[in-house]
Amino acid sequence: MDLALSLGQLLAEAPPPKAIDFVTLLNQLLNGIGIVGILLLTGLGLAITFGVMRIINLAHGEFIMLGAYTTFLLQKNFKMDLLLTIPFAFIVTAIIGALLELTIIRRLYGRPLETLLATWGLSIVIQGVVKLIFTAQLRYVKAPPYIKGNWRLAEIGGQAIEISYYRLFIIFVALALFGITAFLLYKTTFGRQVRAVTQNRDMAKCLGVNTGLVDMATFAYGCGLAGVAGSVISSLKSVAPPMGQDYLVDAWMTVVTGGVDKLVGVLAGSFLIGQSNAVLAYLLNDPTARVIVLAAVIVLIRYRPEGLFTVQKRG
Amino acid sequence: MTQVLGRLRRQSIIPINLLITVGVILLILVLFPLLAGPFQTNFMAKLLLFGVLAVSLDLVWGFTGILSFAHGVFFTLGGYAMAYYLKLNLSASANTYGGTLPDFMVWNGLKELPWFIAPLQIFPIAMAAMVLVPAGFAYIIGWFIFRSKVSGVYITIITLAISSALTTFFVSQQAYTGGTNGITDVSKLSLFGLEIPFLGLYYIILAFTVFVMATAWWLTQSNFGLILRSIKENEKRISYLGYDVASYKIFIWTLSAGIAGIAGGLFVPLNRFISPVYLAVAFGTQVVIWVAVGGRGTLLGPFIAAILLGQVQNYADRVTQDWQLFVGVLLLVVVLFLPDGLMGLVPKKFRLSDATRLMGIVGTNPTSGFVQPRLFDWYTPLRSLVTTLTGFVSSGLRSPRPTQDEADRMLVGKPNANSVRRKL
Amino acid sequence: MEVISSVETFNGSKVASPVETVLSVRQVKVVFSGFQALKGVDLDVGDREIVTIIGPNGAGKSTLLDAIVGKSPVASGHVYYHGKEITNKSPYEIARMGIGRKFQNPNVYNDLTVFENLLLALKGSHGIMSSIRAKLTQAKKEKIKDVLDRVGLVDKAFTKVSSLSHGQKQWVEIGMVLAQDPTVVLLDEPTAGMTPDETHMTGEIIKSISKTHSVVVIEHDMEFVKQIAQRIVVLHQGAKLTEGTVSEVQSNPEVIEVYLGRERIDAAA
Repeated sequence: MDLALSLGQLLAEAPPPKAIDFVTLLNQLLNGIGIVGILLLTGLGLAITFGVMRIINLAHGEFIMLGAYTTFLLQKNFKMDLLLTIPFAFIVTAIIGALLELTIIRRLYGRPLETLLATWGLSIVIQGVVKLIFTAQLRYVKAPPYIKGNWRLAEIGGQAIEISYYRLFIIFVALALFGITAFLLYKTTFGRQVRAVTQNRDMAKCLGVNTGLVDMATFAYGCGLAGVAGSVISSLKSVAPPMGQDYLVDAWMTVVTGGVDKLVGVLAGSFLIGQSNAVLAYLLNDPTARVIVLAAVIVLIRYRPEGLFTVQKRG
Repeated sequence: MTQVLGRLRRQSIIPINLLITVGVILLILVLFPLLAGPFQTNFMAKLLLFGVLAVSLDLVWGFTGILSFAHGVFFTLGGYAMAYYLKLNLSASANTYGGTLPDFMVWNGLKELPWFIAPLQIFPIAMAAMVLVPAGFAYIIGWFIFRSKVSGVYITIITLAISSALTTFFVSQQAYTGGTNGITDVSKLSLFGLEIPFLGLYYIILAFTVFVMATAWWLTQSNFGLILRSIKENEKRISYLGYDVASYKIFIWTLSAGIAGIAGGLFVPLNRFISPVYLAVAFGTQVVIWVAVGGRGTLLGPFIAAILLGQVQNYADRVTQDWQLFVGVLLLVVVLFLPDGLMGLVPKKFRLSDATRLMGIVGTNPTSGFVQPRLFDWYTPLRSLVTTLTGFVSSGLRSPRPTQDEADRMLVGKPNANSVRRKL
Repeated sequence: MEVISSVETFNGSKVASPVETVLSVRQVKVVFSGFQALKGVDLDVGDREIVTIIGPNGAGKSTLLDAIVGKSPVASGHVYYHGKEITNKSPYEIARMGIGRKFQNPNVYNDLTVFENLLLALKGSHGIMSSIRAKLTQAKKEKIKDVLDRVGLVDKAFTKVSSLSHGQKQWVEIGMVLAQDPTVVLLDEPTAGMTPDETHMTGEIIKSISKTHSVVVIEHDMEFVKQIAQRIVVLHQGAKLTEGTVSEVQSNPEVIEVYLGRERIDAAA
C-alpha cells in the first residue's frame, strides 16, 4: 500500500507541468533517437534468437558485454579504431554463441522455461569468467575521433538544436544491420531455410534441410548482432562485467513490445520505447520514466502478449 | 472391486516415514542454538527464512509451474514494512539527529513523516502491512496477469520487469526509502515493551518455519495440490473440467507472496537493515536457484537447498570472491543434468514418492499419489534391514510387509477385460 | 434466460422425436485472422441423443466444438444450453454448467495416475476452499470405480497415465468426461489411433453413455459412425451441408460429391 501511495506522492511532487520548452523538448526527442538506436541494436539479436528461433536467451546481455570487451582488447593491444573492431566483435561473439548452442541450448529445444533458466545460468557464468580474467575494474573505450561533437541543426533564440554524431552513428549502424538482417531472412535461401526450420522442424528435415546447422548458424548470427551492439555501445559508458544486465531487460521489452512475428516489430518497439522514454524523462525524471515505461510494457504484454505488430493466429 | 475400494480406504494412512524424517530435522533445529554460538544461530535463523522463501516460490513454481523472479520483491516489501516500524521506534536519542524522523529522511530534507509511512510506527499496523503489502501487490499483479492469455515464459519476463522497475523506483526515492542504502540501523524487535531476546527471535522464526512447512504440506497433498499439479502440466485441459484456473493461480500466488513477506519482515530484526539489494533480480535469481537445486515440486528439497547453499556461501565467501560463478555453474548443471534437483539424486527406491508406499504396498507400476512431497526415505531401508536381521535370528518370523505377489493380489482382482465388455 | 422459439420450431419440423433440446447452436461464426472457419452453423442436440458430425478435413468440426466450450471466440451467432445463452463464456463456466469435452488427441494428465485424473474430473464443487478441505469420500470412490468399470480400466487405476497405450489414454479421457457427469458429452474423434477391437468397444461405451447423456461425436471412420449414429450432421467448408440418418446422408448427392466422392478420388489416386 505504501508503495502505491508513494507513487501517487511521487507523481504529485513531480515538477509541475512546465511550460513546455520547445527547444529542450526537441533536443530530448533527438536524444531519444540515440536511445532508439541502442534499443534497436540490442533488440535485433534477440529478435533473431527469440523471434525467429523462440529461444529465451537471458544471456543476451552477456554477448553484448563480450562484444564490448572484444573492442576494448583490440583497441588496447593493437590501437585499433573502434569501427575496425566491429567485425571482430561479431565474429568472436558469433563463435562463442555457436559453441554454446552446440553444447547447451540444443539440449533444451521445446522447453522454454528450462532454456530460460539455463541461459540465466550461462549469463552468470559468463559474467563470472570475464570477471576472473579482466577483474571487475571499469574499462573505457575511445570513440573514433572523427565522429565526435554535435551536429547543429538549427538555433532558436540562442539555444542550439543539436544531436551528437555518435548517436547518429549508432542509429545508422542499427538501421544498416536491420536492413541486412531483413535481407538475409526474407530474400536468401538461407533465410527461407531458417524460417522453414522454425515453422516446422520435422518437415524441413524431410526436405533435406540440415536443421542442426541452421539452428547453430541462426543462434550464432543473433549472438553476433549482440556483439556488434556491444562494440558500438562500448564507448558510450564504461565496459564492465555486469554491463549486459543493463541492456537485457530493455532489449526484452523492445522485442516483446513490437512483437516477434515480423522483424519490423523490433524497429517499431525500439522507436516506441525509446521516444516515450525520452519524452517522459523530459517531463518527469529518468528513474520515473523507466518505471512508467516498464509498467506500460507489462500492461501491453497483458493485453497483447503477441506484441503490437503480430496478426492473430488460430488456436 | 472390493480390493480396489479397500485400497482406497487406506489412502489416508498417516505417513510415518515423513513424520520421522521431519521430526529428526525439527529436533536438530530446536537444539541448534544450544550447540552453536550466537553468530551461527543468527545465521541459521536467516537461512530458515531463506528456506521459507524458497518453499514459497516452490509453491508457485514447483507445484503450479509459474516461474517467478519476483519473490525477492515480496520478501523485501515485507522487510520494508518491518524496517519502517523498527526505524520509527528508535528512541530519539538513538537517532542521529534526535527527534523521531529517521536519519535518511532528515538528510533528504523531509520535515515531517510522510503520511503514508506514519501508520507503520504502530505495531499491529506494521505487522498487517508486512503481510498485506506484498500479498496485496501480488494479488494485483496476479489478478492482472493470470486473467489473460499470457503464458509461462512471458509471466517470467514480467516478473523480471517488475523486479527491475521496483529496484529503480526504491533507489530513486531516497527521501522515502533510504535509496541505495535502504533502511539501516534499525531498533531491536520488542513485544509489549519487552525487547525480544535473541533466542526468542530464533524460536519465533523456527515456529513460523514449521507452520509454513506444515501448511504447505497440507495444501499440496490435498485435492488442491492435485489441481495445482494439473495446472502445471496442462492448464487448458483442467479448465474444461470446470476449474477456474486463474483463481487458483491468483490464490497460490498471493498466498506465496504473503509467506515471502512475513519471511522478509522477520528477516529485518536479524539482519538489522533492508535495502534494494533484496529487490534486485540477482536476489530473485538466488531464490530460483535454491528451488532448482533442491528439486522443484518437493517441499523439503528447496528448504534444505537454501540452508545448505547459504552455509556453503558463508564459507566460500571467505575463501573466494567468485561465489556467483559457482552458482551459475550449479544452475546450469541442475538444468541440464538434474531436472529434479538434488532430490532427484536420491535413489528411487529410497524415495517416498507416493501413497502406495505409505500403505506398505509395493507396486511394479510407476505411480504417483496423493502425497506429493517427496522425501529422502531412510526409514524404509532401515526397517527392511531390521526385518531381515530379525528374519535371520528367528526364521519363523514372518515379514510384516506383503510380498510382491500378495500386494498384487490385494490390489487387483485379476483384470478381466471381457467382464467389462459383457457388462456393456 | 433468452429462450428462442425457433429452437422448438426447428426441432418440431426437422427432428421426429419431440425430445427436449439441450444444446442449440445458432448461426455461429468463428473467424481466424480473416479466415471464416465457421460460416454460420446451426446445430441442435436433443436429450439423450447421439449426434455424429462428419465432414472432410478443415470442415470446421473441431472448431464447432471449440466454439461451444468457449475455446474459440464466437464472432457472431449464439450458443444456448437449456435455453440459456452461453456464447463466449469462459471454458470453466461452460464446463460447470454441464458440457464435457474430449479432445482430438488424448488430453490427459500423464504425470498423474488414472485414478487422479478421474478424481480431478469428478463432478462437484470446484472452488479453492472446497478443494483444500475435500475428503476422498466413499461416494467419490464408488463413482470413480463405476467410471473405471465403464471404460474398462479398473486394473490400471493406480498406473501413471504416461505408461498407458494410446487407446487406453483415449479411454481415460472418455472416463474423465464421464466422471464429470455432464449433460452433454462432446467427443472429438474418440477412436483415433485405436485398434478395430478398441474402436468397437468405444462404440459400445458411447452407446451406453447416451442412455444417460446427450452425445456429440466427431468421427471419420464410417464403420464406426454406422455403429453408433442416430443422426448425422455433415459439415463442409465451415457450413452445414445436410443432416439426417446414415442412409439419408449416404444417398445425398451433395455429400457424395464433397465428402464420399472426394474419398473415392483419394482412394483411386
